[in-house]
Amino acid sequence: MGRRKILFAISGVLLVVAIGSLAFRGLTFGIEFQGGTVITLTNTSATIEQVRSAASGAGVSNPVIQTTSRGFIIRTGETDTVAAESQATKLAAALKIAQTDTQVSTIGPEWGANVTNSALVAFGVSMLAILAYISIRFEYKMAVTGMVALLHDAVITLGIYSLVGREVGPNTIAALLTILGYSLYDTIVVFHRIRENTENLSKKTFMDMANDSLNQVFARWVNTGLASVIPVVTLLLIGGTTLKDFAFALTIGLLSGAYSSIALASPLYAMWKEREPRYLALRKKFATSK
Amino acid sequence: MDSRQKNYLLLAGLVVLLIGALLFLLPLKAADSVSWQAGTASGSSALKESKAVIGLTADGIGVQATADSSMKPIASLERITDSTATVPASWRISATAESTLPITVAGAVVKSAELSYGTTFTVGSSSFSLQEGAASITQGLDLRGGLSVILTPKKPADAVAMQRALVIMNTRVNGLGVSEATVQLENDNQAILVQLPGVRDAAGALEVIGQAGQLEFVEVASLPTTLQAEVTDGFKMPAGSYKPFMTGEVITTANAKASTDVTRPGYEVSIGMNATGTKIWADVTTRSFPTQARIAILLDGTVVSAPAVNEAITGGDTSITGNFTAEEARRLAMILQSGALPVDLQFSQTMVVGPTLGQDSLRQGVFAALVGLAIVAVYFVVYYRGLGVLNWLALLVFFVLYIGVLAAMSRAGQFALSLPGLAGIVLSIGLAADTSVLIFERFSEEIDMGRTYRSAAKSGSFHAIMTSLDADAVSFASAIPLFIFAVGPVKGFALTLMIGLVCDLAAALLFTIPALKILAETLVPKMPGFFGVKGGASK
Repeated sequence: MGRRKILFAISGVLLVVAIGSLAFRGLTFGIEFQGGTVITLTNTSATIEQVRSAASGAGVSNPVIQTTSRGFIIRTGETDTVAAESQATKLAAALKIAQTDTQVSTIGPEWGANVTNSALVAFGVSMLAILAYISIRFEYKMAVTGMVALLHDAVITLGIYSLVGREVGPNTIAALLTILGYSLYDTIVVFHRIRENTENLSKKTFMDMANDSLNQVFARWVNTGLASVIPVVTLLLIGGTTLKDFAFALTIGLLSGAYSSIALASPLYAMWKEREPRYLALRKKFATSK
Repeated sequence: MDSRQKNYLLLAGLVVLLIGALLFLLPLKAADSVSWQAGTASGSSALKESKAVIGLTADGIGVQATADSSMKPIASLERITDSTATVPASWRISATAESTLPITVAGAVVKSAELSYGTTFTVGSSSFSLQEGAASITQGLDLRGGLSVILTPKKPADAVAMQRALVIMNTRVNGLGVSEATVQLENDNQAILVQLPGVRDAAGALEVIGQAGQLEFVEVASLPTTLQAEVTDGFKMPAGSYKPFMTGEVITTANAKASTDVTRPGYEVSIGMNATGTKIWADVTTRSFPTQARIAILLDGTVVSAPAVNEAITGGDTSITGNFTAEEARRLAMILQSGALPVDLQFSQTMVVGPTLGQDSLRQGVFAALVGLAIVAVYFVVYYRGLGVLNWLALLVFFVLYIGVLAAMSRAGQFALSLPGLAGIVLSIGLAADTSVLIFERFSEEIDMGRTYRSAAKSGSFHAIMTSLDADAVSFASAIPLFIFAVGPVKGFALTLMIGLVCDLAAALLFTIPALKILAETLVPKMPGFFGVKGGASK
């Protein structure tokens, strides 16, 4: 807690980098948001050149071809379902890939906007629900500082997506919304302890008490953090293409969420509380740390 | 009742719940299988796809699940009534294999045939059917393979028009003969979701779904005699085999109503036509009624009704009576009124998943989850020792409850596991581990503060569960809007997360806490070192 300025600085730097990257590099959106086709091929030993020539032979225009551990992902701007399906069939036939090892997704442009809008609505309502819950069960200052930590996590996760140029798909949105819940989960655990310790606070400043609270929950913080992150990281490492997408956002979000509950939400909350007359008096009496 | 009895009672309640969960989990069969009933024998055999080739093997009937796999014998002709018969694994389909008993599919004797689920075939006098086995958890289309299509209107359409479109889409999909196909309205009535699990000919299916919806009227007498007998509801007319005398454009109104004719009870459909239709209709009915000839009403080439003409109708207003139920009459009226799709639909999303691909994803996902769990389990035992073992048990209890609930929902048709859902399960496992850690940490902490084991268990678990409740409630609150407002795969994620959170609390309240309280009074004081709580004051 005494080092909160350093922690704030770290968060500040991360946020600046994230926002900078979002502003200048932007995000790569998946076909789900702009329409197009994704063809996934697995179980093939074909080279990328073979795939490229087979794609042009099958009438696929401007394909973006990406290699995966056991095959390829081909993205095109094709929004006509029937055309996309026939291109994929030709492509698979040319590469001698069984129909059972292919996947074709085509999404129209309006539908993409629809998915995005519904996700945004879900996000907005989630925020309100959480604000209301914490304000009623705890107090609004916790709700606000918890929300600050949460936005911090969301921005950093998106910033990393932008930095590494990873595609944002519906799974990313789902993962982001989960981070929203999980980041708060961690924050709530710390807030719970602070509130408990506030009850008989008379022998030290609010900041010192908050600091002690953090130390008390530190072992728990490490262990629960590990327990949540380990399964998600294994998913990221060995989970297969679709799940990796999900796991990538979750991993960053969980790490950032765990960090922000200790480094951001709690110090901010303590600083805010210290301004209350009751705790200002304590501060005058016991001030030892800054 | 003292608190000790209460703890045992909670554990007993948990045992009942776990047995319930296991009941839903036990039929851990392969998702697809062949089952047969021959005399008193029955059994099943795993299949990979939703269609299979049946045929003769050297020694009996075989089922070939995939094109490249070998024929898998399901029953020996000689031992057809012996359900426990074991048969050599090396059986292969053999072109020369002849059986004294003929295989009959739909009335025709065949050597081999490709069958869809639900088809019955007979061998000699024994009847077999290809059935989809009941898996304990239904797999979503992204895991099983198949075709998923979302259709949306080009311009916003009202709910009534979308309902009609849904009925028409249902008729088309039924015509494809895919078992377990679903057609439903989504996204506030602004999208139709069509799911065809296991469909092989994706391109053909897309064509059928995307067609215009042509309503045609055909005189049955004008058809070739061989076809005339075939004209029954649901029959798909071969392309080009018929010539319609009018199309659905002439229909102005179509309503279902209760029959007023006492000699023909039930419901009937009354139709109104425009001037052109009235004229054609008068001609056709005038020449048809003396012989009570039938008129077939076709939707996209499939017979939806084939009423006989009872009188010459010159005024256009017509009643089709046929002892309909209210539902049948309503459906026919809807088709007549809107054979052509009432809304201009477009494909908004299509997904064709090969079955192997989905299964690969599932296998990798499950494997990753297990590895993750194993690492967490080892870490817990190193860190918490005895309590780590309790944590294992807590996770096991959570897992059985969780999967049991999912299986129960699956059976009720309310849940199908998708990839995002799988990610939700992985996250829930992490959160469940969190809850145990909260309880154990607080327990050790209270011991360090100088409490007895017993009171540390009591006070520690109380504080921990209050924290857990709030943390779970916040996660739950964030998942609800996701479930309600988000479309598509995200819904599955939100659902598994919400169920996971509830199961987490149930496992903590019914297992972890009572078990910790019991241990704190029995084993922990005897071997505090093993439980990693050496500093505790003795009782």
